[in-house]
Amino acid sequence: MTVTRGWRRLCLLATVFLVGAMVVAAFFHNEFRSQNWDPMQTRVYVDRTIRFGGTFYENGLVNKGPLEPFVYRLAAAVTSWDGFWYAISAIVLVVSGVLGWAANRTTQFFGGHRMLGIAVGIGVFYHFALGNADYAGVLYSRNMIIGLYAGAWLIGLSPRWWLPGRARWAAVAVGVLLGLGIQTLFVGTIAAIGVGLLALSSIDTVDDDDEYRASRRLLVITPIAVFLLAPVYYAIRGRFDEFWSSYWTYNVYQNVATGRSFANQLVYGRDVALRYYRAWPVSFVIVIAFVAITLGLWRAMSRRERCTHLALTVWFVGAWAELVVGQRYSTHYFSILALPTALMAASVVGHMYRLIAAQRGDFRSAVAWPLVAALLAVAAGGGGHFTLGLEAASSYSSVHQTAVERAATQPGTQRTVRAILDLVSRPDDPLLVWTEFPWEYLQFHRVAATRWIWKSFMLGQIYLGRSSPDYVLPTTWQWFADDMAESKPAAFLEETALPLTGGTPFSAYVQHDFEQAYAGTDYNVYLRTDAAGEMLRGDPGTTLTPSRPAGSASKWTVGRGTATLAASSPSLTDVLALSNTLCTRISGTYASTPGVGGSFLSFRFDAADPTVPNMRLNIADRQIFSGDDAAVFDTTYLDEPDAIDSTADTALGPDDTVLAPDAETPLPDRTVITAPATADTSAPDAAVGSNDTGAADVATHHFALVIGKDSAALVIDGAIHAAVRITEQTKVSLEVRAGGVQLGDLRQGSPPPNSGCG
Amino acid sequence: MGEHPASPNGPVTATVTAKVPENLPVPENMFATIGGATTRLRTAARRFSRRALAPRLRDEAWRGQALSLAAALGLMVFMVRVLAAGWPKRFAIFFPDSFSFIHAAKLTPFSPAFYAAERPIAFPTVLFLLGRSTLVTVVVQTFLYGLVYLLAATTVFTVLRQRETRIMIALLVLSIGIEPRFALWTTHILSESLGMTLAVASVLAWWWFSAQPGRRRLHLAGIATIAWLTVRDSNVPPWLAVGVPALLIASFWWRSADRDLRRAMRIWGVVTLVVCVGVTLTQSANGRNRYATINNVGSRVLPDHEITKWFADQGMPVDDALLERTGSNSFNDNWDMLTSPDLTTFRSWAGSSGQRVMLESYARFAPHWINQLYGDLPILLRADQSSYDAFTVAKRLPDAAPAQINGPTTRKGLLIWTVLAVAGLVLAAKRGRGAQASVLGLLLASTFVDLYMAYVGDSVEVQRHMVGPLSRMALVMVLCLGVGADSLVESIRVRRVASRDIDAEHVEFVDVVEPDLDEVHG
Repeated sequence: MTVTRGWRRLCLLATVFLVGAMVVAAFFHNEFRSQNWDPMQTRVYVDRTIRFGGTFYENGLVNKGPLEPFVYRLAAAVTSWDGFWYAISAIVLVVSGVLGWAANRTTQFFGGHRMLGIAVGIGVFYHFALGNADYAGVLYSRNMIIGLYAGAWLIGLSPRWWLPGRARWAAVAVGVLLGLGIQTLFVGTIAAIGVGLLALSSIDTVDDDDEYRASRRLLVITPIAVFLLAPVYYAIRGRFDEFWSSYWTYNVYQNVATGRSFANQLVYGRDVALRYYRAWPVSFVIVIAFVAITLGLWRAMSRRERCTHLALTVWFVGAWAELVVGQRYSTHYFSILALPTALMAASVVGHMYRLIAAQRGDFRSAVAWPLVAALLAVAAGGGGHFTLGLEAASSYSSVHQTAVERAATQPGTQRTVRAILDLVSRPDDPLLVWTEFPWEYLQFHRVAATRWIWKSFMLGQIYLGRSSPDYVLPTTWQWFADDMAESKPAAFLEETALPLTGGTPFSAYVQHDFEQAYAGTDYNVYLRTDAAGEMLRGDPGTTLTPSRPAGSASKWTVGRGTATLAASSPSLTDVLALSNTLCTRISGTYASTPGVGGSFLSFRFDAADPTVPNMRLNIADRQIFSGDDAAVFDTTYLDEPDAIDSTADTALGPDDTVLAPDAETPLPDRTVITAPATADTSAPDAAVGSNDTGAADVATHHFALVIGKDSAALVIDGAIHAAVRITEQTKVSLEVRAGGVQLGDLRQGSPPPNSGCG
Repeated sequence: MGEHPASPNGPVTATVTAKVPENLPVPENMFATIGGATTRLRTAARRFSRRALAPRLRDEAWRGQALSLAAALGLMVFMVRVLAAGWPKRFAIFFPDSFSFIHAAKLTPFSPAFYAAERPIAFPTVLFLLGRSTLVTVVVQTFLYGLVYLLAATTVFTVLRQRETRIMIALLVLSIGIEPRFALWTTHILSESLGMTLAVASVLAWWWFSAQPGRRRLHLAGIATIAWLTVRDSNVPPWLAVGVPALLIASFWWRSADRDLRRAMRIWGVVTLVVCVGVTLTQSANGRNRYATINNVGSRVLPDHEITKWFADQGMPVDDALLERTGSNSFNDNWDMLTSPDLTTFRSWAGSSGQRVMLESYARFAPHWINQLYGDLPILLRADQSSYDAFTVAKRLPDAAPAQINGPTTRKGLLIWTVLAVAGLVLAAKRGRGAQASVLGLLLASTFVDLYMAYVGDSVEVQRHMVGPLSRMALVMVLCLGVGADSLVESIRVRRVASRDIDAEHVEFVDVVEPDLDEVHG
């Protein structure tokens, strides 16, 4: 092997190594990164479509063409619930690859060396897959559109597609891609015309007159036909109203709700453009260089090159026009501008190379350029996402394992809500939420009960615009009623930060059909009246006589439906066995007998595997909290929390992390728990708490421990106060960690019917 | 299917028919269209395979390039799995030994003290070249480790001749490389990783040399060996016991080799001998071996009355204070044996003549130590080194290969692998690969010396000291097996071809003598 050949191979392999690492990093990191606002919204719509059937427009307010939900539907079809975002990440990779390829071909088209083209392509790929821009690593509709346009651009650039016999097909392919883009966002039409111009110039190379004319006709007709396909399809399906309301009427609302005149829109656009180029001066330099080269070399360029320059210019102007007319400048939207700018850069690089190479000949170092470009891309583009991606790739073991690890870091308030929901409904069942966020459905593994997944749709609040009842679609409440009749949600979730607005059919429906079951710090959970009855009041069943695993050594006094433990004899091992199985409901009364360390009852869910932590629902005087052996998840109080001195014994760690009582282990969330003065904190499972209210709670309370297949909830005095998800635990017992207790009227009945036990 | 006898795509048609509801209007030509499309697709796939894939797969250059790309990607994936989870903030140094390498590197190769520092020079040199950066060192040594195993797979493809054995042995070699118990050392600032890397390089270089002996290959093997010798002082004894004598003897007795080659072998024998002596002297000079001597006396000598007596006869100061430490090593009781005032005389002995006495005892009491090694082998062979896996590499790499297919992890497995390796060598020797069999045989012998010396060298952290010898042993054994299997497959293939040729000649002969009867009768 000669030195040159060895050097070439080394460069090639190093490039493959680095670009391979980029691909791997992008795939694993974008699985997380792509879980962005709009993508989650689309997923919620798609999940709803899968659950209830019908068109996308019957399952959500989709104010774009059907391509975006269709792509997401495809991703759902080929993956599991937990693996969904991996499919989206793979599509992000494909789109980024197409964009990089388009940049590569553009550089070569204008005379750039093949290696230079690849180098530019790598840079563009990195920018869109792992760059710092907000539009990188996500799959918004605009990312899809630029992917489609880049595909059409590639076809337009390739001479092979326009050979005799193929030109018609090429024209159709370009037309379909452009048509889908326009259909997805109508404001992207000018950009599509720019891309179409390149294809038109390619048709000029066709010698056969018939083929030439047919290709031109097809290039014009196909996008129009594709664009019209959507309304025609929905009209045929009898769902034109749903389509039109979302696709047209709501977009009109969005347009007028900003309250800007056309002139004002232009002025606003100018201001944004100035700000944009101040923030991204490199883009500005690229545009100026492109314009300068266009003017300077215009006479020297071939007709096809001129057309390509013209096409890029129109595309670029079209992208700005799209932003200006859309009147919204979210950072994610700028992808439509970034691609034509990147292609301008590619063309500038191609021209420059051709000019230089004409003077000095080829460069021997060309083989290293892709490697240099890859290194520069990582260095200049910021390696943050790249590093995170590699980290994710390194730690990845399976989709399921990743889901388990994420569930383990879920905040306590979400754990509680999920546990409650699992007692009255199953995953993928409908959930009614008054929210402004798409993730509320996804984090609880539920589908939206109504197509109006956000309250803004029902209140006429327009994104980056004004609010008015005029912006509520006329059929909103009729379709809401239809949705409720169809979905019959078992639960309604209210965010405490966004309380339910009264005076709407939505609030009337909730007030009429639901009963509040849980009041937490972040969420309130309401259950459908029948589900609430089964959950909160349920069938008490037969009298329960608990057993004592410690036998005669036990300090418990057990009778028929009763059990008592004196305050002086709490023990971590002398527990009261309540049930050897899940799927049950244990109810009765309890009265704590506070000891020196107060009162602390812990309903413990044991796993057969000793390495799996026990789950717990705890009562420490008036403080009710869920957790496991080592951490507290979520807390509520029987009395008002403001009666509690919640700072007395709480240790705060770095960043105000609340520490466990042994002040060593940070708790997983910021639930403030106070440590009992004399609790046994030396035990490994010492995540205990106590209120310091002074007066201990010695009242007799009614309680019910409702245990389903996947979770359990503690109902006290008719309301859920704590709930916990069960993983591998199978047994239920009561452990008294401080003080004593008197249990009475103990009964064992059936769990709620939809708790997964059927 | 019977309902559509005319269809060329019976099964497909039947399936489709079953799914179509009766009330739907079905175009008559629908099945034909589906069938036609399927046929066209199949034809297109065949055409693509015939025109695009097959010629490329037949093209050796294309295959080589494709394999290179796959190797680059494989190396990338390996590095990502080993390193990226801890990247870039972690890989903190916490082994005390790591600091001694850093200290040695701080001296820089420009100082004479560097060459007699507490550690042999190879790893401190690497640290020096990489600016003593923990992160860069971890990345570089992981890269080199992965690269050398890819090189091993490439060498397997180069030296072995039969496709089946090439693939099988290359896979086994790669499987050794990705075993967590070996790969995890790339995350530590210790010489284990570089030691394993250079061991593989040296073994490969000698094997490559044996496949086609020549001076260029010999020089390469010599350089790789010197690098390996200077990375850990425990690498010296096996080479001194096997490598140096073998080179010197071959340089005189290998009559079929040309004179220049024999001269070069003699030179390399002497050079490596000098390196061995240099490493031994410098390591003795800095006194680091006193720790091993103290450890061995405490935990291995003192518990045995007879050996203690022999050590006392050789000058070891045995008193009550020392006898109280029976079963201890320098780590115990807060470094008691290294600091206690009542052991000052003993430590002085351990720092001087004690090291020589200890070395002598390895030969004097070899049967005793071998017995002890035999007893400890099950633990040592199956050790997964998890206690050293500070960065949870094992979680991110595949589990160890099943059924000990890439090297022994039990005593019985060691026996079987040894038998297989020897059988492989015998087969290779009998089938005209004598040089390979001899060199691999010597390497195999050296691995046992390596194993023995790693065991007796220090009674502390024995499992860690075994990592290098065990990975080297696994590689050598797999290569021995590979050479044997390759020879076997080759001989079977040659016999088949020969018998087919004889049959063909026979048929030709019959055709000539007896013209086709069918034609005659027809």
